Amino acid sequence: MKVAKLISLVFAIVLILQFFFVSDTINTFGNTITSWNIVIAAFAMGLAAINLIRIHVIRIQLKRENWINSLVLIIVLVSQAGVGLFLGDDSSQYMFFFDGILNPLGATMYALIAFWIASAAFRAFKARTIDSTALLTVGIIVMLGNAPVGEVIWSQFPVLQEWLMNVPAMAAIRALYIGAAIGGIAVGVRVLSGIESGHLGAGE
Amino acid sequence: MLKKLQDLDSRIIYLVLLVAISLPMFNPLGLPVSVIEQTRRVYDFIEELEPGSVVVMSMDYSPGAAPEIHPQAIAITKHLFSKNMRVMFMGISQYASQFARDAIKEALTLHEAEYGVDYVDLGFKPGEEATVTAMGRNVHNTFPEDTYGTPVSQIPMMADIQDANDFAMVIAFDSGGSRHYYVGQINSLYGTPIACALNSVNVTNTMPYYASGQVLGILNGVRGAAEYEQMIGSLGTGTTNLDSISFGHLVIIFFIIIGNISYFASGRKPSKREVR
Repeated sequence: MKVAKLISLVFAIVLILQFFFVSDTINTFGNTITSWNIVIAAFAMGLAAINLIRIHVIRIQLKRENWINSLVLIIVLVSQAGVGLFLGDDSSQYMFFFDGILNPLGATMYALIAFWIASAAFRAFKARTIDSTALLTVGIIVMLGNAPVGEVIWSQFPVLQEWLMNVPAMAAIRALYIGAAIGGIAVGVRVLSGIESGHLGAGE
Repeated sequence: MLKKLQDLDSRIIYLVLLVAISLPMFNPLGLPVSVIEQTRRVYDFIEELEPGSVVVMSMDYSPGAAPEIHPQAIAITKHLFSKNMRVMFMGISQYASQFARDAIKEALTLHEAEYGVDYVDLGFKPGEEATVTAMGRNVHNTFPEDTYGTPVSQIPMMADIQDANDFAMVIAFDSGGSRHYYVGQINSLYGTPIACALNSVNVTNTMPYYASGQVLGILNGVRGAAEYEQMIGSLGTGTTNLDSISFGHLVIIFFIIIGNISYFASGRKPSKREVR
């Protein structure tokens, strides 16, 4: 564990120094670390696929609830991987899977959100308090400012929407980013100093 | 009756919304759309680039976000090909090559471009921010081959593209978080202009970058696609889908108003817990 923490510390220091200083030695070492990162990420994807297969094969073997879905997942995973590996990811068969199954299904899942939002807005967007009334009003202005029909109804909706996005919303997001960045630095210092070791698979 | 509306079956809401979104697809109204400044700045920047400038198209969106972002990618690819830019497609999303190929196919119906001379598809590389960082330092080391397995050193247009200093701009088509990587690792270190083509939900949290000048422009979902199509004079799915968005928004607003009318008609008074 100590060796792992030491490696993490050294690598992190090199990458930080590389960001702020120009040095051939640090550049070489830093570029090597970055390349290793990419290789490890590729291995991680393979590991994720293997783990997925393992989990779902167990589900199928034990006939757990909805094991049929696990079977479908395994079949599609193996089929798509096989087509990609042996026929190429630019083959018509691969593109059939992508254009005919993956793309439409992904878009459909995302599109379902619109219906849930409509139902949730009907039930939850009530002007009960000043806060909720403000939220409701701003939401309606932004929706109408974003869609062309809003501009047809009143030409100032896009202007109001742009002000809301550029001033109060942007200010809130900026504060969030600054807070998150400061928090990230604090966590980073804890990781580098070895206080946090969750990234190594151990408890605190 | 107004009080009973509070118990309105959700399926009625779904049905009304479905009809409202579907009708314009069969009978488009063609509502006029004005071009906002965030979109215009992207278009104007590309217009002012010298022919042969290198533009990186980072195709980092998922199939879920494709209905919003892919029309933007098609429109911008058409624009870049029409201006004789050298376009380098790549991505840190596993769908990068598929979306790039489709955008290229659409653009080639209008403009001529030769693979390896005018554009190249370097494909997908895992590693998220590490890949962006490595690409900024050395493109050839990060992408030794293109997506078809051709060594990058043998591709004519890549001969003088070594690192981010050779990029005229980067356009991040992003539904995850790659725009943060490009701002942090490319714009901050090399000063390369970054443009973002996003789904609507990510626009708000990109505004700080736009306000500070780290991002030169933002395309906002389907509206951004429609605006860009209008500017390049080649209408596509962005424009046809925008009417559906208009009616969808009107339906949601209608039900919000109905919900509030029925809430107040029920005679409910805010409880002490509700009043702050």
